[in-house]
Amino acid sequence: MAEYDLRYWQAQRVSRRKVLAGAAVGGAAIGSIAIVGCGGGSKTTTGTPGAKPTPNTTSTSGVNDGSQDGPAKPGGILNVRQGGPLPSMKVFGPSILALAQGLYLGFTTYDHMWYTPTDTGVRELFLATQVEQPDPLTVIATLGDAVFHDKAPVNGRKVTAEDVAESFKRFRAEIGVGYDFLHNVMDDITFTGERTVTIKMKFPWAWVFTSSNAGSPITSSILPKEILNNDDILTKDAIGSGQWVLKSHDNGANIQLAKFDKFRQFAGTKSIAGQPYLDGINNKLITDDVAALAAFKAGEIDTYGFTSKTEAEDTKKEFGDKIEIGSSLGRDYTTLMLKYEPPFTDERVRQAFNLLIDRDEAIQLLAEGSGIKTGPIPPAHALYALPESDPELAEYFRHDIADAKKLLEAASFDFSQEIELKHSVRPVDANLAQVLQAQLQRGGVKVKLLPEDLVKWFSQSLGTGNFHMTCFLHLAYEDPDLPLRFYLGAEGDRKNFMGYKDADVDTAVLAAAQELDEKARIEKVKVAQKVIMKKYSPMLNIFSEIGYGGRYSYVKGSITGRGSYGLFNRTSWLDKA
Amino acid sequence: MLRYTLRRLSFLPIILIAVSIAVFVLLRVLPTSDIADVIGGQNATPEQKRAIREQYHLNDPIFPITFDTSVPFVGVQRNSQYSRWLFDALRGDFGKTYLSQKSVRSEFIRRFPASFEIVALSLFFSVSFGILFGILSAMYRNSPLDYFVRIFSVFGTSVPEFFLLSLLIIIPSYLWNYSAPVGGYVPIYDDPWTNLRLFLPAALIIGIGGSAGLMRLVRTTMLEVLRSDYVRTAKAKGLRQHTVVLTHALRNASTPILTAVGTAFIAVFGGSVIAERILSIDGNGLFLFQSTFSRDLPVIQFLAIYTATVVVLVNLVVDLSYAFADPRVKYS
Repeated sequence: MAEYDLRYWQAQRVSRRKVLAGAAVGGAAIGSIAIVGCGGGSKTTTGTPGAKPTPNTTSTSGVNDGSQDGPAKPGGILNVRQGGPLPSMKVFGPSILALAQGLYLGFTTYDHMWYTPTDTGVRELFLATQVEQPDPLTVIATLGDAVFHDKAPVNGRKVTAEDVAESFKRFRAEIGVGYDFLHNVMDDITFTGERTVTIKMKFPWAWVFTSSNAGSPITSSILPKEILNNDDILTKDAIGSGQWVLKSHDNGANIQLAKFDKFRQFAGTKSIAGQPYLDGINNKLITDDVAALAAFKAGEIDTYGFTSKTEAEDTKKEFGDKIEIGSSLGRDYTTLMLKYEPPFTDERVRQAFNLLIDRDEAIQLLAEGSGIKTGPIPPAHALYALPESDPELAEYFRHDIADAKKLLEAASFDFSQEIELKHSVRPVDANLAQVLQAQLQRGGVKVKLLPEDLVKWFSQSLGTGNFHMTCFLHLAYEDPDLPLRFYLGAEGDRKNFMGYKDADVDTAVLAAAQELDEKARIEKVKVAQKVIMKKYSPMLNIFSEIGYGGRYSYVKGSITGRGSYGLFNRTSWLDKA
Repeated sequence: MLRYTLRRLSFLPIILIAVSIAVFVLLRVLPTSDIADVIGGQNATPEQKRAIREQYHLNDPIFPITFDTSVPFVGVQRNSQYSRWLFDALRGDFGKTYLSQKSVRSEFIRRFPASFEIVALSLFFSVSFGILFGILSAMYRNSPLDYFVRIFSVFGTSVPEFFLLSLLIIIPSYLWNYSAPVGGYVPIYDDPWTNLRLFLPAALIIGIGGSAGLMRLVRTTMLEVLRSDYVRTAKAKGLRQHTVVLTHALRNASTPILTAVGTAFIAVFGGSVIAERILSIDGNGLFLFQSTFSRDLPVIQFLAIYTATVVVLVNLVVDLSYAFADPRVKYS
């Protein structure tokens, strides 16, 4: 079966299904999106192309770079689902409001200096033709020739270094998750002439090129300086230099994209000559999953993200070779977060709670058995995650009620107390909470579920650390930076939701973040995970789910197994008359 | 009649103000109603949240009148959130959506045709089926048709619309791999076929669901009327059956039926929200659904007022129509 990441383009089961969804993403969707910054959805959705176009999966069986189907036949329109309308085309604003459109337009109409695919962890140059790091605090990029889309007031003029610098600064003026690099790490960004951009950092930060940082699909988007503060244009239109021109939309719904014929045509870009191959992409607003499946089966849309393995298998049986099904391991993962206050300041209690979690059962109950247990870094980050055979990871995953009870007794745990487990009312979080409640209760721990409206949970419970325990589905982080940063203790502007601060963990995580050598950094990320696990740091990760996507067999050239890199979608083509 | 109508209409502003106050209060006592939390997100600092509150005037008192325990017990707040909203609304400015910063009024107007079409079509089916089958059921009492109508009306009132609408998608997909057209609202004058492929099935479901109660009421009322002496007299005079039923019986049974039609309209109005959500029709129902999820208070507030206005006006029309249906009803 072909492997690909079609779920990126599906809407949340809002989320709202998926969230953040909703948020015009309906509000539901809104909250979740912001959790990540650059992630996207969980398996659930709300979905605007922004709410769930997020990178959330990795192919479970191989990497395709888009050339696997032979020479492309240019032309044709790809029809895809849009789970919910984008609230606006304006990519600026508090992240929670701008994330959906920021992601969608960042992957389509706006170009970037570079991108770091999750499968290799190696920076790939986009608009930049050369990048130097003369010292750990300085990055100098040289831009290639490119022009903006031919729309007023920009009218297809050349992209300059000033546009890049001003765009970064404009994003930095906003608040919210996803802007951490701009606020806390980047000291300044300047330009010299038309081609040279210089980023200065406050301290060495090895993740600088990744999608949580200066390679963010949102905050590294390059906009023409003329429109950076022009709300009239920004709210209705998007003028970038990316591979797709925003052709039309019905106030954020049914977005139509057209191929940009002058996309990045400078020396050294032979590998993308003629791309994108499609003439355009039409998004069709389908908010309901059942309606989306019906539309896929009727051929109204060419791709679809299944809601379960069973649904994928049934559809495959019905359609045979007409469609192809791909599976992918999500980078989103479930977690139980403990507030670092008594009784969870006692490491034995945290270890006991971890022993009480039956990850196999959770996978069976919550994902029809299609999932993989996850440590501090989800297994989809194959470069950085600890191998399943790692004995320390195996110990971390061990489920043993008897040992857990012994540890709790040794820690003088008060079995008569009832501990609150807060969760959002998103189905994915509510179901997880019920499973965890049952598992913890088997160890004699009394758990009281406290469901909360998603936005309230997000902003007033998780965001302020106002919980004893909380559980949720993380969104799909594109690099290990964010998953590790959750464990970093608060300092300056940096927060820790759990109130957790451990010198050993901080040292290990920061050592990885400041290691410029990529091979050495991979090893340091693994060391950091081991320190986190050894201390039973109070965010106990549970599992990542395997998702299933389908497409008609005439859709060729999909990029799979490369994380969100496939969302730039330049290589798809249609093999039909 | 005119005086009665004007008197009824004069109550409209009072009702709308009462509704607006109720909605205003309810929306602001809901958890997470603080837009600073919604917009600012988890990383917003207290200063940033304060700035957001100031931008949206959330630090102002909610109502222009405040009560206190000290003399003079009642205070007047010039710049309250409610008075600001009310004066803007009187000028036709219902604010901007929190999420997209677009005018609520223009968004409503843009989506109105789709919502109007689905409500109008659904009401047409609801009233047509309800009255037709109610009459037939009464005329052919205890016949297979009567039993069918009675069973159907129980089914129609007990099965939720969202379930029927889901079946509307699932069954054609399962049997024929058919799907309604997706990808945007196409006005009926641009492409009648595409338009009706999207709207007609949904309107049928909502309409048939809404007709169930009407059917039962029409049947019961007609049965009562058909047993009347004057109907027996009309039949004895040799009048044709349809004349007896439509001219003599139905007109006399029309007062409760008109009331039920008003209720059916309101049911259809609610059903259209679900239909728009399930069928991805970008109308005001979907707008309300999404705005509720995202706590977009200006939108919710406006659509609540709009709904209240529609309900009040429909009730007025129903009341006025009594006079046309029954000459004994006089409004003076």
